[in-house]
Amino acid sequence: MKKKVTAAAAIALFTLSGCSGKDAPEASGPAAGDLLVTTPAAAGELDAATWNLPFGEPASLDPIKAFNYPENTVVANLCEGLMKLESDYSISPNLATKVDTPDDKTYVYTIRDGVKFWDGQAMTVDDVAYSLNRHLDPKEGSYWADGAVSGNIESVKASGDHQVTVKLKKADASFNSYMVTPLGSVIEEKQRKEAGSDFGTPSEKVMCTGPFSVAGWDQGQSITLEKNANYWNTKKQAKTKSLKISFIVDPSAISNALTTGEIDGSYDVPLSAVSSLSGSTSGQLLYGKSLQLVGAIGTGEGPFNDPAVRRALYSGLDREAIAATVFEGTATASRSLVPNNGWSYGADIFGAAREKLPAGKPDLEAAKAEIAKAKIDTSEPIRIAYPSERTFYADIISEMSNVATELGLKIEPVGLPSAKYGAFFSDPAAREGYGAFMTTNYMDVPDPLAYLRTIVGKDGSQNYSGYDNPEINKLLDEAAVITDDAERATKVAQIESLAINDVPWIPVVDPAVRLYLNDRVTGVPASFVYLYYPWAADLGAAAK
Amino acid sequence: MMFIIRRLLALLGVLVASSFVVFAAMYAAPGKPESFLVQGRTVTPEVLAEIRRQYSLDDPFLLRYWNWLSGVLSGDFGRSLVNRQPVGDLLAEKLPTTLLLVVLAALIIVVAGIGLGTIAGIRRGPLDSAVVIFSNLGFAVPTFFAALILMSIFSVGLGWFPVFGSGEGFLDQLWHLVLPAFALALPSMAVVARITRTAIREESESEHVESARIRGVPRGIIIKRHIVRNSMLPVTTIVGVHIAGLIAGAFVVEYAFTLDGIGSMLVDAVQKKDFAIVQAVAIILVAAFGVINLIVDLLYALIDPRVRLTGVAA
Repeated sequence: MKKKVTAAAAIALFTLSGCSGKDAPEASGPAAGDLLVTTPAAAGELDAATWNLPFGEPASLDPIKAFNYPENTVVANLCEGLMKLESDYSISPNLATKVDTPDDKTYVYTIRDGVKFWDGQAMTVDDVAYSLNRHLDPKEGSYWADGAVSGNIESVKASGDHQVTVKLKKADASFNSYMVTPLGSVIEEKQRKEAGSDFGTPSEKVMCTGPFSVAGWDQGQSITLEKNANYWNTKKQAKTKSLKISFIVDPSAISNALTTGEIDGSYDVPLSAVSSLSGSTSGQLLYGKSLQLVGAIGTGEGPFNDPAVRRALYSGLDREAIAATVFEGTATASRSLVPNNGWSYGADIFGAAREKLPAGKPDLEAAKAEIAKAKIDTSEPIRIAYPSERTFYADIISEMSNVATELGLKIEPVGLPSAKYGAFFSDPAAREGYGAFMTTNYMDVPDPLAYLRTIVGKDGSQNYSGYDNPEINKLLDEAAVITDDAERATKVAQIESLAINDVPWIPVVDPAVRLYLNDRVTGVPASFVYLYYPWAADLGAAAK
Repeated sequence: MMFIIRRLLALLGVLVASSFVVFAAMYAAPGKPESFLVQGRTVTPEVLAEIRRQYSLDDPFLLRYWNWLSGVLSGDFGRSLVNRQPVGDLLAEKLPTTLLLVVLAALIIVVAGIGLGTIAGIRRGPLDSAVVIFSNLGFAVPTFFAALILMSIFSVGLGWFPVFGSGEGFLDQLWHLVLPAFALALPSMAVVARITRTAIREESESEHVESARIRGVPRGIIIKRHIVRNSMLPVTTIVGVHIAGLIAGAFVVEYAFTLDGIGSMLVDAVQKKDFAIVQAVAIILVAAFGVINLIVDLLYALIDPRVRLTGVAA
């Protein structure tokens, strides 16, 4: 096995180096350690460009229904939040010019003057308050309505001509960072009410303030965005007049459309298209800083529920080999539940803390020592579910299964149709009988506190195993009220190392953003901000 | 006439029965629809309850079936669970692509399949061997693989045809559909060519052809009237079955070429557990199958008047 891994790794490196040697920025493999944040700025404007959404067609353009790749990638260009996430993960004011926190439960947003919706109507504080309040109204059915963030909002009120005040039930230092997501997106109240139940659909669409508006939605084929010439932020006007967004999901069709230039670019190109695209002569496959994590989520059932078993599997797993072979060098081995660089503050502290966590090399001796401590009956097989069309998960489980065999455990991979797999995230009945399920998770916002809270917090929205560590719960509460970034980072780093010691999820790799751009276009961010940042506004002509 | 009416009634019965089966099957499948609507997001129970209410997921099964069926009878296929669009509108948008694709593929099967088979059947020699080899190959290559090969040669390599999409306007659409139609038609075309060839061979060696030849009937007339016409009976059956199969098989090609037909819509809807769409498309598939079979039976009578349209034919 070892030999095979090395050989495949060599091939992966070879294919990666195949795409260098061009004058534009060199696409360095993530192995080199420096992933891209942006691509070279556009040299000129474009009349038209095409893009692809590899995860398929959006179901809705309503920001509160945008909680996945297809919807967010489009809505990010249409609707804006009070705050904005920049490509380096910093957070800056956007529709709000500033935020004041008179006490740790109150956020006062000063609303920007002169912002207009696409239809020319001025954005008012009432539109802002209305938009935020939609998450609190069950009738609106916001996918962003959850206990930790919107559930913690006591009230949202227009408190002045240019002021909206949000009161929280309990202090949460990570609250403001959510204003970059659809939680803080602003829509026009009047159009929302007129559209009725069809709001966000191809027939009624939405009304926002972003650099692009919706020109057309040809169902099953494409959504066309049109430059908003009246955009308030004159420095950030869109550089492309018309952007057609297709929904091709088949990996070989994606690869063909990109190499022939019928599509100009795409984020998240499928892993199986990596080798053919990195050899493309008409464009480049670029690797960007990501906030994603590929891993196995524990469900709280069977031998996998014993921390000793999880620790043993985690330390025995050759995560570096998986990054090199299964991900063809487009990922790095995980060493934490928090993806590398997944923070917008406290970089020194988080960086240093991460260095102290065990690296991705396997340690079978440590694994054997751990398994000896297991209290649970380990004869029962551990069933791990994955969506069957994503074959790279099967490769990961098979590596894990090799480790398990060495440890006297038994792992049983179960490929499931997407529909059945999808239910794992919301339906406890679906998870019954499975010890774990594979996932590609991402951080909503680059804040380890907000992210860890969902995974290891007692009532975390992604805590599927009922993980409950009193020490962590206490630290989470303490961190939430610390307003000083460095101080908070220190506390969160402590939670991070406690959490990885119990491995409620087994993190495997941090995949890079896989961005393809043909030679005609450039400018978009390469980092993982395209779900909340108006990336298409930066898309323009490449220098000749 | 009675025959046609009886067949139509039987078709209606099949449609109602299969609609019930499809409706029930979607319920038996694991996972709740509201879970898919929130895309795995953990939302508050109030939001879930509201979603269930909006989509009337709390009504009893039979009531929902009845509501749906009576809706369909009045031309209302309901609304997509995922994007709230009326299913009828979606079908109206996507059906033309699939129909054009299937019609093109059917034309290819009939013209190329029967044509090649007839030529190979009448003339022996290198052409005959070529057709035999081609039909073996064509039958062995799976549709999705044919799609990949055609695409990499004619779209990516030569750049003659577009890589994806259905195109706008009739001619552009036709251009977009040439490769998909070939990929879709290939296996059936191969089978039809092979069966036509065999049928022609059998007819040419039959007694009545032999006696006609001895009586000195001109070769052209023998081929036209005796051989080809008689051999078309088994060929019609096989062509009919294969064309009906095209509709169900179209999804593979639609997916590979990213065509917005009802096939790719069905695949998508099954994955997202979009009840309303799955039910509507399934019904359309069953109906199309039934109608094509009916047409084949009618063609029988046209080709061979001896076949009486009695109710016995199944």
